[in-house]
Amino acid sequence: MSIIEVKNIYKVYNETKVPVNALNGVDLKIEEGEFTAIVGPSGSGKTTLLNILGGLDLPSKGDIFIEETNLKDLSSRQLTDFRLHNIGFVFQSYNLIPVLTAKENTEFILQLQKVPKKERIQKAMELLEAVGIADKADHRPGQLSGGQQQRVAVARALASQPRFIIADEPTANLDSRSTNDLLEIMAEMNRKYHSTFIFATHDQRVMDKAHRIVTIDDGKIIGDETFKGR
Amino acid sequence: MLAAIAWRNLWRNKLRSAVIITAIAIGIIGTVVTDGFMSGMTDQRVNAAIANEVSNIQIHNPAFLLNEEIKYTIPQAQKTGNTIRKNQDVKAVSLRLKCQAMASSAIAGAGVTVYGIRPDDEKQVSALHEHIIKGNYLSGKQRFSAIIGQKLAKKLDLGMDDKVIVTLADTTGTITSGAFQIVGIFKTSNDMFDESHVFILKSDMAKLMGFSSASSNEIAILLNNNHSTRSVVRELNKTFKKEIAAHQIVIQSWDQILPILKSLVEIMDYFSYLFLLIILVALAFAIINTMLMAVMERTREIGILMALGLSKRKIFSLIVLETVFLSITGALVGILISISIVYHYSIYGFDLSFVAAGGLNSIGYSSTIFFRVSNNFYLATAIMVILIAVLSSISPALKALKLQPAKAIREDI
Amino acid sequence: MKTLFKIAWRNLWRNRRRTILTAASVTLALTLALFMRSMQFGSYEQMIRAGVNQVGYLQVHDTGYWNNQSIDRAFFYSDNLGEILHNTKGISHVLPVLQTFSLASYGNRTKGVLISGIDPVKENQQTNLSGKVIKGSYLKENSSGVIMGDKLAEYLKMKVGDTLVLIGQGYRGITAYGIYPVSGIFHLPSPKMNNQVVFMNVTDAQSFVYPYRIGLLTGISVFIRDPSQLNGIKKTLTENLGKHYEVISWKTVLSDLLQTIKMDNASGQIMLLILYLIAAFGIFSTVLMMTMEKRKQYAVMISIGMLRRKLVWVSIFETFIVSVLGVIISLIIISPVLYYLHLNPIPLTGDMANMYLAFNFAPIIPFSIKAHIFISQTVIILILSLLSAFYPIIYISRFNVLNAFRH
Ligand SMILES: Nc1ncnc2c1ncn2[C@@H]1O[C@H](COP(=O)(O)OP(=O)(O)OP(=O)(O)O)[C@@H](O)[C@H]1O
Ligand SMILES: [Mg+2]
Repeated sequence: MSIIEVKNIYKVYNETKVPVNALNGVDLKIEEGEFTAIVGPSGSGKTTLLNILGGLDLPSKGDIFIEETNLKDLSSRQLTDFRLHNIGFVFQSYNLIPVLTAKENTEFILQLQKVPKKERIQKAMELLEAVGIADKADHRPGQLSGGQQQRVAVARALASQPRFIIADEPTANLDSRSTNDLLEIMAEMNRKYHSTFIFATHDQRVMDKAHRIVTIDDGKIIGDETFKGR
Repeated sequence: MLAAIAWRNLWRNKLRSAVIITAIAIGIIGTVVTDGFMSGMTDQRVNAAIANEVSNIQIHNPAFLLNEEIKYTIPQAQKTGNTIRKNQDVKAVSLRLKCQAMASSAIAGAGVTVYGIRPDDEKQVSALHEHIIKGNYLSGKQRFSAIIGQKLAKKLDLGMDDKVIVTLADTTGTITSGAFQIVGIFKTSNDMFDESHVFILKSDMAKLMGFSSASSNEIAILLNNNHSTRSVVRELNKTFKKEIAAHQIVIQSWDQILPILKSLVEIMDYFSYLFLLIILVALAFAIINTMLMAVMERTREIGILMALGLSKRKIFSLIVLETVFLSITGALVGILISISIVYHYSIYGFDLSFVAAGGLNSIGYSSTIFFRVSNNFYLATAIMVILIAVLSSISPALKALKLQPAKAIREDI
Repeated sequence: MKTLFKIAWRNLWRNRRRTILTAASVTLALTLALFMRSMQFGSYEQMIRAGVNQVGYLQVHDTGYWNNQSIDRAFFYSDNLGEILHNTKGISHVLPVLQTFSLASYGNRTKGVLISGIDPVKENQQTNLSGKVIKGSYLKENSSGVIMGDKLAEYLKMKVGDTLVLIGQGYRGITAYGIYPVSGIFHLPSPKMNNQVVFMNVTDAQSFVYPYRIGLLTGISVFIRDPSQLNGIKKTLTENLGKHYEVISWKTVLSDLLQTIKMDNASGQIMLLILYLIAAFGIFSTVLMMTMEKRKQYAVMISIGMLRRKLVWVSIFETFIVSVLGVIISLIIISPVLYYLHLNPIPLTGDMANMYLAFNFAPIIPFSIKAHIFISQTVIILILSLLSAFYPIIYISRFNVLNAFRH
């Protein structure tokens, strides 16, 4: 069974003068442990789709199931709770809470989940170690480079061991070395913890690492390739 | 963690927080110090009135109070006085004769209240003897002597050793007059009092009015502590239940004798709270504005918190907490500074003579004001400021709740 | 400059919500300040009007009377004096008065009272004394009745028609004595007046204090048409009347009242100052946030070659427009309210009302709509808000473009 199943979803933005059809009938299944890239030209609907997959937004039409749960059936409060326990996020930039240190940011979700302090700190340090910035644990985001910030964001997303992690252009602001490092870390996590990753990206290097590439244009899926053995 | 975020958010824009904290502190200092000043002013007026004019408690024949007709004396005044002296809260008691009269000199006349007193007793009850600016207070030895207020002396163009003619109606209604030599001139902080009071020996006055010198129509009682006025009145009312029931005496506290003074105290209080309210409105506005802007500025950040799964309740409390921290800091700073300012002026006094060159005597105030702020007012101020902070944070917090995570994250910072 | 203004204008429009918030802080400060000031000046004006209405703008006495108000310093009215008063420009009317202190008796009760000899007709035009008579009738010319306050009548146990005995000191040491029927009993707001004043015809008062020659007065209250001419008229009168007469202005007569007002005004100004400070901090905080928020935009504009000086102008224009906007909104909101309250003052009740009555003021809270209040408050608030424009000015001229792009 797939972790995510999207059935014929549409998304229309009505707030503008001319309604925008951002998604026009998307069907998609994501399996556990996948490392999937969603690609497509700017404005094609990648972010819109990821937001819906991540429970940040609801489709105008169609259903989205995460395992057995139809997100449409959840109240806004349940949806918030659902995100907290099931989904990890990495955004393009300014992911972190500026007043918290790297360690505190990593702990943050665990704390919301009411994980005991000792366990929490241990987990946070383990992950910061894994993403290679344990030495910067007490720095605030403002004192970290863009790449370092993104690593903390990945550590935070993984800390609570979510069902899957959504990353919208996580490497867009990074140079090639940081991009490689970050991808390496995510691939490692994918292997080690069997975490499911879904990216939106324009970045060829990310596509090169992906196990599956879903191409989207004009709100429609126009390609879906799987690369075994990567 | 929420509290930590809220607290640290305070220091993100230090200038902004400092500005709001200062505004709150100034608001508190302003209202508290103004209240200290106004209470100091009313205290001073009330204390002066109690010390120099009316004492804490007075006893009269109820019929005397109607029209101050002198024939209505207090039955067995001496005995009553001695009974009162036994009360441990009572500091001193003075038996007096009191009469409306005309004081005149060769050139002018004025309506006055004449008091016949026994200097030794009166000195215990009234501080007037400390306000003699020329000559001496009355002494039992020198007969037909008088002390008068400076204002009255000026009005009648009288000086030391001159004679003031006191004209009054005696017990039979016959108009009689006597000449009294001025042995002393007093000046209190209340010109109106100084303009209308003459003090002579009780024995002289009794003679002029045709009384025995034991008769009194007023008993003035000074207490050890102004605050026990009410309770002593209650006790005395019990002690003299029979006399009161027989309409022989009536016991009044200073605020019943001078109701204007009491309303003055109440009105000052009322103004203090009104001013606090106006300041709070202005503060609330500054807080709402700043926090609304803070929320708008952090749209994306709040979006991310929502995406991560922070519940609405927590987002709401985050904003409220930040506002409350801001206000508590401001309130603490403000109250600490206020306490030290009020403390300073409660000891050294605040000199007002620069406002009105001649002092404020003509309206009944001395020109040095000793501040006082009741604990209640401090408490009320602190509570109101924090309450206002919580109320002011509601609108920004609701604004934060209205954010849609998907949209907020798209927003540029 | 014009384009800079346009940029400022568009910036404000683009961020409408922020503009409104900032303007609202200005509006609130000005509205509260105007309300407080209008209320204060309203009561001062009322107090002064009531006072002047009683004592006149100027008083003419025999030299020395003001400092020593003895009946011996009364003077005889002369045609010459009347002519000078009549010929002085700007005087609308004059009221003669003879005041003296005396004992009043009825039965076996006696009380010191103030006798006020007045011209019944003229006095009534000025103060509407006849309207305050609650029993009996007002003074008539050529009839020797008196009217007294209700409290005094109660004390003396007198009613209309009873005969009052007055004994006092007359002019030049003679004993003044007279019996007068009580023709009416009045009730004025002030307990003091009700307790101790007896009004009678000025001619009766004159024959009471000095029956040998009629015409004695202690003073003449002078009313003028235009209060702003006060000093000029005072000077002319002083010169023309010569050294035997003194001319005293209401500011001296009502100096206690003026002192009270001065005190109250000082405390009012301190309260305003606190309010201003808070308002200024509120405005400053919004301007501050506006600036911080725009740092990225500023950085972009400086990077693409816009002079910092020009950006400074843009921010000055922005603050200026927002302040003026706030001021206009405030004036639109508060002016009709103040105008309404000016026409319909708030009535007082309870303790407050009694206190006002005790000091002889009508128990209402009047509001003033004098232009100077609006002008001074508007100018102060504008200056305060423009002061906060210093922050963006300093910020723009000093900030580091590179830092602005960092988080
Ligand atoms: N809140 C919104 N209101 C109106 N239209 C929107 C909104 N969000 C996105 N759109 C529109 O929906 C379409 C899809 O946008 P989306 O952000 O999903 O594209 P994208 O594939 O992520 O592009 P990019 O690669 O540039 O990030 C675009 O045409 C966009 O203009
Ligand atoms: Mg996108």
